[in-house]
Amino acid sequence: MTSRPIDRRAFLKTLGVSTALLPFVPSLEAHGDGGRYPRRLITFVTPNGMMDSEWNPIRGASESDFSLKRILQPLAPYKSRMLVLRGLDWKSYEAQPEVPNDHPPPLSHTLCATNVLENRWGGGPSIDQFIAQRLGAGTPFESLCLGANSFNADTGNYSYRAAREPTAVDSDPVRVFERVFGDLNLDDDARLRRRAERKSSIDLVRSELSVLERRVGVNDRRKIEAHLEHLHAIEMRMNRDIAHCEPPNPDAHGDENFKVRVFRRQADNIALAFACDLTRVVHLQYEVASSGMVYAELAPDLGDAGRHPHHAYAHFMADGVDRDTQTEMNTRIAVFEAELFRYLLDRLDSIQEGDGTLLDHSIVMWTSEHKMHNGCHCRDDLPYVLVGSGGGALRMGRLLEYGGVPHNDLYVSLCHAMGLDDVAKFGNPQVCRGPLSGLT
Amino acid sequence: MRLAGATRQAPTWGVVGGLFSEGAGREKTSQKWMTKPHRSSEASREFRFGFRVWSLASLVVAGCTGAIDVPSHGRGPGDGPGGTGGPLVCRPAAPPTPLRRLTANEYRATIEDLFGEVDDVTRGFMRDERVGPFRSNVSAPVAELAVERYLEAAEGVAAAVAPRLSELLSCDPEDAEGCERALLDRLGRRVYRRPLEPEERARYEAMLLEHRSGGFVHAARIVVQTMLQSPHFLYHVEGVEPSDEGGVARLDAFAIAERLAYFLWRSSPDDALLDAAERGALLTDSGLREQARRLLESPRASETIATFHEEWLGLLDLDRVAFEILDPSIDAELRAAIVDEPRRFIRHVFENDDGRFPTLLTAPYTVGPAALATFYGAAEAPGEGFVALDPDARAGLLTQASVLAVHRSPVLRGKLVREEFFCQHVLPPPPGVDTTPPEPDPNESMRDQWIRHSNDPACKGCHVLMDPIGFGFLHFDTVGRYRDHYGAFPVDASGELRGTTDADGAFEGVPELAGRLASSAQVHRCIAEKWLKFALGRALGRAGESSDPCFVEEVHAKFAASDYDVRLLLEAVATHPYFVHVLVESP
Repeated sequence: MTSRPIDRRAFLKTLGVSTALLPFVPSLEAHGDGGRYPRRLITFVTPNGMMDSEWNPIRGASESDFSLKRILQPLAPYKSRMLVLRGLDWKSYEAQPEVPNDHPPPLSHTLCATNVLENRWGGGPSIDQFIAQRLGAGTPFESLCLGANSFNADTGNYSYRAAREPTAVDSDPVRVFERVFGDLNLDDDARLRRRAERKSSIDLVRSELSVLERRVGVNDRRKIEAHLEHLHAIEMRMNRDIAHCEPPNPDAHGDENFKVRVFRRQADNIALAFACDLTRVVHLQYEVASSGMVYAELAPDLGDAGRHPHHAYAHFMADGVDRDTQTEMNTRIAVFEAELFRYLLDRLDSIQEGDGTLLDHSIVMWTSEHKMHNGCHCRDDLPYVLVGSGGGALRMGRLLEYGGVPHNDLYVSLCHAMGLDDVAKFGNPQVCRGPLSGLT
Repeated sequence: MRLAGATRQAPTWGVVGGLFSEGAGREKTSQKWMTKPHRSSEASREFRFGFRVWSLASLVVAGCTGAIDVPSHGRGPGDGPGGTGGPLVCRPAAPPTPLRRLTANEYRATIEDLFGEVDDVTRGFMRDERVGPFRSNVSAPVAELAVERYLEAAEGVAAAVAPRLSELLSCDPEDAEGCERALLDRLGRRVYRRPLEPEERARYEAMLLEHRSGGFVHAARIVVQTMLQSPHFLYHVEGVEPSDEGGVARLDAFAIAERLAYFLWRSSPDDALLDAAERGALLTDSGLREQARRLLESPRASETIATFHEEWLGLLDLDRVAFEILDPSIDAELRAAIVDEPRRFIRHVFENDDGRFPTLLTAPYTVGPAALATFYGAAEAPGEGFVALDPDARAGLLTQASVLAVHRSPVLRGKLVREEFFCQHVLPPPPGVDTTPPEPDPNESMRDQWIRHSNDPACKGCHVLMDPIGFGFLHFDTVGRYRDHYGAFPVDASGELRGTTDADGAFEGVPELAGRLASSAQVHRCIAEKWLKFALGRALGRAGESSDPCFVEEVHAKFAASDYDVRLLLEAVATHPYFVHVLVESP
């Protein structure tokens, strides 16, 4: 079976919109709360670490006086709306010394910041899911977990609903489009018919699950509960009209190479999903840790040094390539990732909301699962960049030095910035001390 | 009943006609649930375990001291039987297997068996969880996205199949009621892997009634897309027989059918198996054996055996191996031959050779196209694809390019042997260690470079358990090409096994190593353990906490008695009381 592709061009035509000129048309009116716009959060993770030497900005006389080196240079236009955080360590990982120091075993520390469990399961909700659940925004999607050239890898996950409960990463932007905006492609009759049929199915399946829930053992009950919760979420959004929302053009960026194309289409999906208030929290991961992704196109001047996979450079183990060249490849890949990130920011910033933009009302965090320093997997001083102030909740345009505090504390601050003021700790409570100082 | 051994049934209803054969009587359909045992006389008393107390081999290599110990981390509780070799507690039943969701492969195979080939049906499904190297969705709750994918897949299949349902059900399209009955009786039984219970049937009857005005095809489509979202389709839900036997209950006949089919065919029970379940035949030893043998005689069992070996040897990671980087001369055709080789080879061993475990390790041949033969420096393969190899250079699975390309360094090759053949766990490198392998230096032999690399006392304790085995593979480069020299240095492929119960000692090259593995009792027991994980889809409990190690020992004993015939190993698992009995809460 090939699922029937949505005829997107025809669809856009019926809207009377030229696909070439399709603007981002936000239709979101101010949401309750005296005209305040909702705050949104994106956690963006890129794998295989960050080349410390080219990431670390140069400090000036004050915290707002810093200059960007190569990796963050693509973000220069956002420098005044950005926070670069130094000295955030994975104390939760250090508190669990029996976990080996490969990529996969501790991967879930990135966003869960607590003990990794058997089979590499995350030991609690990740910060994106925690905030999404606590916000309870009632949007059609509590959160979206998206990938660009990424997937739920056997090597581990970043995003977890709860301990041992990874979210599923949706890495096909066209399917994301269909899932998030696809209902718009049907005429009213067809849409209502499909809803009725789906409701019929869901009702019956729910009855069976409920019977099963009473019969299975206590250890399996959570599986049935989760299944029921998901059916409920699907049914809720099925019944919601989003008719005043205009979707992105899923065919855009067709001329770009697949890495750029897939990422940008996901970014477009995110921007419009936010603009249409279909969700308020997104986890986005680019690529996967230990991946075999090759970036030869970034190395036209480096002979065949570019033919090795990302992970090989991260360990300086690309056969026959000298160390300086491998450092250069690591840097170029990170610059490339920064450029992708920049596109996401541009998209968010292109959508006006009141006096500001969508980006102004969001917090977009970028991190990676280790600092790269002489080929070691360093778990201290991890790379953290935040852009967008969450509607003024954070004071931006600064380079902040923390000198070795748990990254848990940043996540408490994120909770507060997202309006969850009562959160005192996140992740491993033994290492978490409370919100970071000086962010607001 | 259609007997196995014939080729796999063409998975289209039109061809098979009687795919949904008329079932036998419906009396025995009441489902009991494993956590709600009912007292009754149907207890399973007829078997007694012949468990002995086994002194388990020490199973874990740890501590970077070269000693054998229990791991402090790196694997979940109960990730392998054994541990310190505490007293075995042998109860005649296993803990219930956690509720498992179909893997993507199981889903695809099941849909194909029901409806014929459906393209891309699992597109966008999540990657499956793994239990050790084996795929099994045993632990995590389903993700929301997965539920949506199930919905979309179900709608797609239903839409594709609805127009030909009456044909597939062999019912008269004019006779809507007859077709509806056939839909619930026959398709329902295949999808739920048991007859529908009365209340389930009533729900579907109401659904059909509600949508009847749209015609049978319309109503049936909605029924099919619903059935394919049922938890009884998506999960392995196992019922048990009533029991008054101290916390032990037999799986009910349909749960036994389901276990048998997904173990031996990685797909749902066919009609013959469901018929046997309905007749009660699976509740007798002879009936169970008859069905297990029927499934095992089918070529589908060979495919399952191949799947086991692919997962066991880590070959699911082949898609991450960048052959074009490791060796640009490997073109798409050769790559495909390398990827297909293990399956073709295993099929050959089970269809045309003796089907014994030692043969898998020591066969001086492989199966593949001429390109593969050339790659191995062997004589051009004649039409059949049989390639005779140099028995001094290559032997069985361990020298196949796919295995060598996934496990590329001496360390990883040694680790593969240590963990997957001896069931001994090597601790991962401690935090902070730079695990960067040595940069290849043509001015030093490969062996010397690796020895230097792990000469640090902090590394040596563990590496001494892996590297000396891995050195036996030094004739093979990262894609499995054979070499006599590394740079100017003649290859020295002398290796050593230590820390095993019966295979210690020096060896020269992989063929000798393979022979040693093929005849080691510790390896045979380890293989039995791996198969049990594969069969049960869960981690095994440890001695002292679980009876799983007893099961391993019994199956190992039968494996030995069969002279290491793999099909007989599978039969021993499938027909063992332990496979079909579970512990239940005391009533």
